[in-house]
Amino acid sequence: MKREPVAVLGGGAWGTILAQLFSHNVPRVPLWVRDAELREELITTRTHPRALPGLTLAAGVVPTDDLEAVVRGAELLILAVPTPAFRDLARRVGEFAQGDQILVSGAKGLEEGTGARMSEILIDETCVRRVGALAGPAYAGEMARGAPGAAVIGSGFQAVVERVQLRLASERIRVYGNTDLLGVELGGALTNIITFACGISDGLELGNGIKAVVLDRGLAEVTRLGVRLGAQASTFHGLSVLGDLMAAALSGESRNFRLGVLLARGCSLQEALEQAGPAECIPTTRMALELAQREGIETPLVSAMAKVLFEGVAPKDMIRELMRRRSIYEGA
Amino acid sequence: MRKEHRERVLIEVTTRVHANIVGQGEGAVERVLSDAIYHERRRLDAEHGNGQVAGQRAFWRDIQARMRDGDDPRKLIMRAIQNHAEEIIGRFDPRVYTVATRLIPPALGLLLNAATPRKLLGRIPNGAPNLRQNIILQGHITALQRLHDRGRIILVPTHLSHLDSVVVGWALHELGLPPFAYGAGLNLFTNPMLSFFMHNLGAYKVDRKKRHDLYKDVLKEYCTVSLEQGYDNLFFPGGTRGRSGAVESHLKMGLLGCGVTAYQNNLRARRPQPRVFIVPATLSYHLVLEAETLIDDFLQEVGKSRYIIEDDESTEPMKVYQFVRNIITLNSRIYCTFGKPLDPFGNDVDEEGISRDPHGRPVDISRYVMDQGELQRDEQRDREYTRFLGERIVQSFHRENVILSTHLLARALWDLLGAANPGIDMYRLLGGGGRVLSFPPHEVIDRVARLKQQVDALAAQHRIRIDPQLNEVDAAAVVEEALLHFATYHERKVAVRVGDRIAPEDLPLLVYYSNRLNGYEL
Repeated sequence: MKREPVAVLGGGAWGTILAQLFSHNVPRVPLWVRDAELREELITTRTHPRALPGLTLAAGVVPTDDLEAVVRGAELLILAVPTPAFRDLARRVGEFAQGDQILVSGAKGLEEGTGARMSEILIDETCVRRVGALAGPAYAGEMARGAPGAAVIGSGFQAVVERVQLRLASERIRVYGNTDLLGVELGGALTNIITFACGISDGLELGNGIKAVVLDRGLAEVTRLGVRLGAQASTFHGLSVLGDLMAAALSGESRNFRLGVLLARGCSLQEALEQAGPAECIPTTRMALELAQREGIETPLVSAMAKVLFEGVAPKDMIRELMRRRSIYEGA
Repeated sequence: MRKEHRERVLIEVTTRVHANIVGQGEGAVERVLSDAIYHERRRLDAEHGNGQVAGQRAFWRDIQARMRDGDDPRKLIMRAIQNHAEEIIGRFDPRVYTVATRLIPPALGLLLNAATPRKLLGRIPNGAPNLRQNIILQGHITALQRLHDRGRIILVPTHLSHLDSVVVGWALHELGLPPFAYGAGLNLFTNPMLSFFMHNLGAYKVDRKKRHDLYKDVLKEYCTVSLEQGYDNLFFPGGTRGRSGAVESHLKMGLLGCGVTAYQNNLRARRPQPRVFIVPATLSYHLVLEAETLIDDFLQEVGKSRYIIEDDESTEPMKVYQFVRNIITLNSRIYCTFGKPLDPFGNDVDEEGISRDPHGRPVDISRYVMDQGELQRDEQRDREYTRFLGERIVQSFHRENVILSTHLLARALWDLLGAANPGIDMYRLLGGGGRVLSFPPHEVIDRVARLKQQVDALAAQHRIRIDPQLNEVDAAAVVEEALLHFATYHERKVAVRVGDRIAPEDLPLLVYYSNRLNGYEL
């Protein structure tokens, strides 16, 4: 059976825009959408008003609910669902996937409870070995409006990097490769925490100077942690970490950022979550703290964010506490 | 290697390595050959002279001179490949093997009888010691035996001691398996205690001082061809004996990758049994023959570069004698635990030889090496598969690691030392810089009991194993058994009773045995 070059699993904003971008190079891109109502809407109106207003789906994007056919029928599968739903989908994919296929995660974050990266979940749940992760500062909303963007495909397998570049790269999106899959995934996840801290800084109206401090010291901190866990420092200064971080902190569009702003303005965590929506920074902060303690790495910013999220410390007090830390050398 | 196969394998290995280098394009032959000449001449300059070394010096001088004179480098590199291949390929003879495996138990028996004849004769009616009481084979034994009929096996044990190869060789014989081709360090062939076993247990020679690519290529190709020709293989993926006492966490991937290559070659040649199975095995000892030398090497910065140690306890007949005597008199146990078999892609394999995904679903592994239904060569892809396989092997090593009384007591004492001497780092403690250096027995017993509880909990989750005999006794008895072991074999006692206290005496050895519990977040 001849397979489709690529299929996307997940009808959210990111999954839909990815399918749209792939359709520049591939005549037919199956898009698996679990939500029946959304699927019908995509099929009948060719639009996604809930998440991507203004977007008209390309003719090559084919929304479907037949997971088995989609999985069996594609060489390259992109799983673009939120991290809480990722393992369940991966398990279902594992029922049909074969060893010659490629699976790529489009989700950013670590699994709550286990701290597993998404590519590790793909290995846990399927027989596929050629896995990767797409990351970077490509924002679905901006790209739906026609803006160009860039992303990173991380994988230890050259074939994964080359296949994703071949199918995805176009005048709409540049795709960089990185062999440091661990760094791409871990760094991408850890940016959630720094973005949240930037939101707090903005919410307290502290100005751009201190936001730059949060960005820089946060990056130093997560780089230290990532390197200890086996990632490469250079990855943290690339698109999947620094690039993503700058976009999130500057745009203010991410849920993590909005959660920080709301907490800084006096909302309770529950109120803030109700307004901002589920934020990846909560499980990521918990996992990062555990990892840092296990590895004996000093992570003052992560610890401070944990105090805000889990101990109810007021953001203002937390900033004061961070500022009172003893003076150190910059590279320390 | 059987005599009738030797010539064929030699030709196959040399032809393949040669073709591979020539196929790398213009300049590759000269580059690889120059690299080999440079490294070989440097190595040989540092070697003590003997007939063999002089012959090799002359060989490489000649190659260098001919290269300079403009001889065809493709012919010269063929000679170099043949030179390496002939050295590597063992002179295994099945008739000698049969005799040798019959001789091993009585040979060890004589050694042991001399140690404690009365005790042995009293315990064992015919006067021969029963090694099965002391060397315990466990784990996925049936799978190992059954898979032997379904494909080729690569056995990959942990590596603590030169005795490992003897123990594993004996284990394979006990399980009714034929000899495995085994890449043994050249120094083992000159070791007076071990050369007998090396020459006769299927070993082929690996000279770890030869670090240039050409030699490694020949070695890997020999391993690959031998698998294709139907020989099971054994090698220690840690590369050398672990210096720290901990279970290996980092493996050398070179030879490990032979499995995926042999499997693909078998598919391409449409051989009836193309599959290759990788079986990890974890060896666990109460005491390790060369522990003193190994941990000293680990703790000395300079010593870390001593990749090959030629003057350790395994070269001293009296030390080996004492060690083996201890095994019997103290009822020491050596566990050889076979892990779940894996395929070259890191999937579990069942007893029928079928690969299974993490949910137990069968996996068609030929897909891993195919693209659009065709077999596809891709070295980079295969290196990644092998890297993943390495991770799975390391997991298996840790899971099948058997914790014995000596490990528990060593870790308990090391923990107590750390707690009693806050702010003092490991190296100062090792130098005797601690303030508190002995402990009341009840504190030690409590700590051992707590540790054992933690290990039991891990064992219940199949993350580690514990010596079953420890489940029949209390923590005080665990401490007693460990102290007895620690007091007998090593030059300096690891830990002793001093009056009404227990004191570590040889701190490096304490660290060595304690390290067996590393990697479990205890």
